[in-house]
Amino acid sequence: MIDQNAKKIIIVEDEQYLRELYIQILQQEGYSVDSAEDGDIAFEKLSKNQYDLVLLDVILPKMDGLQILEKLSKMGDRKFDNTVLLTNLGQDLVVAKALDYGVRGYMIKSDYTPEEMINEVKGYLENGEVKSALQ
Amino acid sequence: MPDYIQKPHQKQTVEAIWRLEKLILDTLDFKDVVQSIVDGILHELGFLKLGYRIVVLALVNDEKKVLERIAISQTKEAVKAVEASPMPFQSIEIPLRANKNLCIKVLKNHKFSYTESWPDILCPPFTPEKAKAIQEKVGIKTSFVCPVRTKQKTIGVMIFSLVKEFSEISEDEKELILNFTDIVGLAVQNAKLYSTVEEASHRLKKANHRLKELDVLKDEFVSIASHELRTPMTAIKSYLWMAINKSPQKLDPQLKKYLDISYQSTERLIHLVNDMLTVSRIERDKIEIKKEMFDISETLQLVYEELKISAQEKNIEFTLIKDKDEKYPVLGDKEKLREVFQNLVGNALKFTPNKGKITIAFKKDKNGVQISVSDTGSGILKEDQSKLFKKFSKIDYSYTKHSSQPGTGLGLYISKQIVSLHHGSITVQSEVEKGSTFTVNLPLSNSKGEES
Repeated sequence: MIDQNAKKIIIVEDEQYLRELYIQILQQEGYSVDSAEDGDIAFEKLSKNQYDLVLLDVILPKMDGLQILEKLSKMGDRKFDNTVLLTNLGQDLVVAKALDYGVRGYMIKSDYTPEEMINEVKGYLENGEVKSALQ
Repeated sequence: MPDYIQKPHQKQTVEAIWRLEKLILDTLDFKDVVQSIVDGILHELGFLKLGYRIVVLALVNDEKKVLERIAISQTKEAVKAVEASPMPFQSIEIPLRANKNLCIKVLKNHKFSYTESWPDILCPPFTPEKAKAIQEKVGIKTSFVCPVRTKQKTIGVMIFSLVKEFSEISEDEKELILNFTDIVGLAVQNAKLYSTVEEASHRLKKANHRLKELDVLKDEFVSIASHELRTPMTAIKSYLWMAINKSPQKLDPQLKKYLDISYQSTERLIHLVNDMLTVSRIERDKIEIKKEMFDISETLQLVYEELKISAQEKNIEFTLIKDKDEKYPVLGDKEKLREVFQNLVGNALKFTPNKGKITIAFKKDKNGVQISVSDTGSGILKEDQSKLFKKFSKIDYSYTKHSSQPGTGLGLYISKQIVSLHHGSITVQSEVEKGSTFTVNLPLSNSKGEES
């Protein structure tokens, strides 16, 4: 049963096992979870739908995370304060570029246990609430 | 005062020679020098008017054992001769053993000579008929061959070809040509030397460029390899965590132990990849050190709180000694320095047996602050102490063998580099079986955010 008021999260992740795991643990927390396994699907979903949180992998088939951000930003005045990079990349440059687009932050996947990952997601969503309450 | 310059035309000639010498000696590129040599005498010294039509410079190639053509004057007779030649000008090579060739004779006798017949200077490689035919076509009557010398030896010849008879050449002309060819040797040697240096520096530049490219490739490789490694490791780590923590059934203790060990080993592997990435960044000067003001004692307090539980589990007496009123402002990267102390205290925990002691203490001195982490652990042999801060150093001290969680061998190396980037230092004092003290010295910052 998905709560109508549940927060909507999309996971953009090409690794099947990780995608399945993240979907599972986030759904167990009561979130409404969508997913995309490559850059094209991700771009399509992100340009049509609204999400409370976007967990965006960087290295993806068809279109990478940075290209998605670039294409989306060209579509109009779009903020990426609902987007968090989810990556195993060690290249600071890529992360720095993404942060330039205004993404909220980044997570190195291998540094998180599923539990820590959920806590991180909660943190991002709660901060978002505080922010919107202030506005 | 002796009168060096007696006749007016001699004065002009000497001046012309000076101009030409200067021109040639000032030029460094080999190709330019040799071209100035063959053209200069015709134009600068006005020899074109005296019936000189073609000037050729030929030099010995020691490797190929030939006298090879290097440069030819830019005159219309020269163009004609080159066009009539059955081979390109640069390919005209006379074997050094062709003793009948006049050029080779001049080379070996070190004395100038002349001929009215081109087969003398062109055979081999040309046939006498061909040489004669070209001479007639161009209309040359005499060719005058001069040795080109350096201090040590004759390195080649210059051939002056004229549309007049040898008897028509004046003594002044001869003298001038001989004077001129004397400086040619020097100029050629200079230019060759310069070109060699140029070439070597060009090659060095290329090699350097290639090294830089390789460096970038290495960096990319480490980045990509670590990404590729971390991806499956994330899956292993996450699913093991799920198996241990979210299992629907209660785990059999033996099975749980197996899973725990697998999980810890995966963590170790991830840690190793992270450390290697850090090392790669440090070595390419790509590591970014943030500059913010913070109190380093607060960082130590955090590390203390974080590791207190592990100390309690081992019954270790773990203390942080600090004067509450004292401030230790440091300008630097809070997160990275925290990792340094996590590493130092983590090591102490690892190598200190149950019921041991670990103490963190602060001391201010004129250079800043000394933060020491002391333990009553296994200690480190004197000869091993200097190896500690090197990459992949693992000291074979007894406790390591019993340690269930050996490190990556990179922690202290990384710590040292990070402390150095903060203009600090890290040292160790240790006695086997008694314990070790790692001391980090960091400069303190004043209120303006400058290191004092």
